[in-house]
Amino acid sequence: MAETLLKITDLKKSFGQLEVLKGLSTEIRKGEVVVMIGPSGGGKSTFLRCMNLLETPTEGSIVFDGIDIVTADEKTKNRVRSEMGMVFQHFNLFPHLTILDNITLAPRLVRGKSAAEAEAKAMELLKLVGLEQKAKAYPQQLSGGQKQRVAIVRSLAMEPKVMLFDEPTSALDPEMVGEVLDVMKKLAKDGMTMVVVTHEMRFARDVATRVLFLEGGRIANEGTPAEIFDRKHDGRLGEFLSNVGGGGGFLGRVGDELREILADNEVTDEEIARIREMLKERNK
Amino acid sequence: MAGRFSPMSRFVALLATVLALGVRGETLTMATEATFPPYEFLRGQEVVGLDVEIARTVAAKLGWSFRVENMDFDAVIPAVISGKASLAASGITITEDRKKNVDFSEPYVKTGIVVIFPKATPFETADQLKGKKIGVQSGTTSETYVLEQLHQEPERFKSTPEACAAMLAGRCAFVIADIDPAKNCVKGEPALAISDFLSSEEYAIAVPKGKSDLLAAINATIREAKADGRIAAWLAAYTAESDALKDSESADRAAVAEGSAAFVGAIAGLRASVRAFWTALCDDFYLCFFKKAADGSSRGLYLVKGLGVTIEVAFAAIVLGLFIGFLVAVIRSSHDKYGYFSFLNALAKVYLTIIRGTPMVVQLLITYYIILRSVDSKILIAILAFGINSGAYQAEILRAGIVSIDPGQMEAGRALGLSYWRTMLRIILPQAVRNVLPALGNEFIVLMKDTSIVGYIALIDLAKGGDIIRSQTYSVYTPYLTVAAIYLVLVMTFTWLLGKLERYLRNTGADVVHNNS
Repeated sequence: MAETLLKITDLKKSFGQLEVLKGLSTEIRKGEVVVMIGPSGGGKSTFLRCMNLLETPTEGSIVFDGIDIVTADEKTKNRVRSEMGMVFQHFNLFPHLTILDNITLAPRLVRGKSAAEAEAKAMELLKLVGLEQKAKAYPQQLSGGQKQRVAIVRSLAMEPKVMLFDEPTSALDPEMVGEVLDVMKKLAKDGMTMVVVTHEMRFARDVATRVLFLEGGRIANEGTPAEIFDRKHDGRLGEFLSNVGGGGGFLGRVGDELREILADNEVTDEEIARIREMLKERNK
Repeated sequence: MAGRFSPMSRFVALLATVLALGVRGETLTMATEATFPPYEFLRGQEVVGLDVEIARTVAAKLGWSFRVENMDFDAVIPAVISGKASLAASGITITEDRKKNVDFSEPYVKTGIVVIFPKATPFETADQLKGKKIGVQSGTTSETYVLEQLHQEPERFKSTPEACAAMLAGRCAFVIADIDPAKNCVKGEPALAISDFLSSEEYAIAVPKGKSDLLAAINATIREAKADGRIAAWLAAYTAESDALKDSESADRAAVAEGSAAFVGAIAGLRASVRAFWTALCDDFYLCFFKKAADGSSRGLYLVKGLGVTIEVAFAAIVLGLFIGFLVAVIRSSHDKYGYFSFLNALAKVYLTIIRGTPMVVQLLITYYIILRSVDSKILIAILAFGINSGAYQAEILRAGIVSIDPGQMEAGRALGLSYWRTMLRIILPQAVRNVLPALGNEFIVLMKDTSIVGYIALIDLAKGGDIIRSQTYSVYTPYLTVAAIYLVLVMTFTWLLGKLERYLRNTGADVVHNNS
């Protein structure tokens, strides 16, 4: 089994009176692509933001590279953050800097790389995502999909050990989702360790090595994509999947029925009855 | 042909007569600076003293009503020249320069200038004055004495007591003043003493040139009052009264009205034919700015040097203010958002409250007289006072800019491993400054013009330079309008530069297409 990068034990987080995370434990191993799904308010984003300490956990420990980073000093925290990439829902590119400067700022300031070295690396990465001709442009001149690809490159330029994605496609127009997911798939294929919060079930199904279902501040279910999506689940997970569609969820099963109908180009009473049954079950 | 115009000319002549009678025919207006007991001083709101008694007697003799105009001393003679006042009676010494501009009555008192010195460093001979810092009241014969007899620049103050206060604070070695204000200053001040007369002089009343009827009435009054002992009696009575007032009157001095003879002078100039006006203007320009003095310098130098001081103080204060502003803004916004720096935040709040809650002039005087008493460079004092003042306003402007930046920017910076301060400096502040540049530019312009109050600490900037030229030439509109024009050009240049900066910053990040293919 691959080495453990992040070991999270009994993590809790409260905002004032509101307890958002109620004790989560998991391990992220090298090369894994962990996808977190779940209803909004379930704690996915907060959990992800705790991993690089953008939120300070109230209790529990996060061990990275053998150190508990929750109790580490500020300098160590900054170093740890520089070794974890993070991609935000709203990109958060720096509007006053060119694309190239957005990407090279941290390598130069934090890693102490020379401008030439940082720029060479940035151009190489931009080529990888097909945006090398935008190097001198400013963020405002880019489309949403292009911005998110630049944001991914900006994180990659720090050569992180793990990449955290916080709903990277939620703010994008539908026709731009694909280009960002393609980049993420490419990263996964190249062996990057990734933790992804997303509502893209197909991505989860196709790319994840493990899926976490977060609900009510806890990890309610955990398993391979097959275990999560291709089985019928009771309770919250089943409900969630039937609402968002995917795998053994409602839309997945309706999809299967429709495929059968289309295959022989005939609708049998049996098939209609099964769809009715599913609808009735969903409306309960 | 002339007949066609005569009804019109007659009408104009009639109108002029009516106006002349209505406006100034019935009232005798006395210009004075009421900080000069026993000649004139404030009893509550009323100006009283020997000069007032003489002028009132003159008015009674003529059957006119009587009014006193209280103004700065160096505005008193310009007020007579410009026609704002019928006569000037303010303990005025007869000098050749003044005689060119006004007519003088017979002298009514003999007096002179003396040296006020701290008892710790006794004054014996006039040689001791050479090269020392000497305090004088601006526009007095004491100032002229330092300039012409000692050939050096005096430290100019608004009044003799102010000059004495500065001497006690160690800011000048000696003060030269007329005997009566000098006596007044030394009274109740055991550390100070007065020398013998440096030179003696005679006080007289000034009237506009060519007003022989008025002059005759004044001379007659003076002769009668001298003969029957009224002058001696008034002098004794008002000396006694001013001595009694001495303890409680200092606050009243602030109520000295500003004499603005500029517009009357300008209108008088316009009445003349265009050519005469132009000639007068050129002559005035020559007199004010280019005429060489005994030492080969011209008065224009006051404006050149003053402009240098204004620019130096304004720009250094802007830079200092920006530095303080950044620091305070970051502390305040970090505290409000993340709860950092509780102690520093409390300190910053106290700073903002005090600086924004007290007038700039008061802060400048406190810095000069109390906080930086031992600092000799007045420019440095002005830079610190203005910089610290402006910092408070810039801090709040910058804080608004910081607050306006999306929190995602800070998160993105931190997620890349940048420290809080680095993210602040490299990511947040550049965007914040861009957003608030117009408000910041406004503050810079206000600061630049506010520096015109440095005259209060006897620093000669552009405004004070113009003021000195006015007090020496008795010309009002040329120096002031020139000073105003220079300020205007300065501010317009600065506004233009700010506009360029704003466009540059706006263009980075939008609109401009960078062609890199």
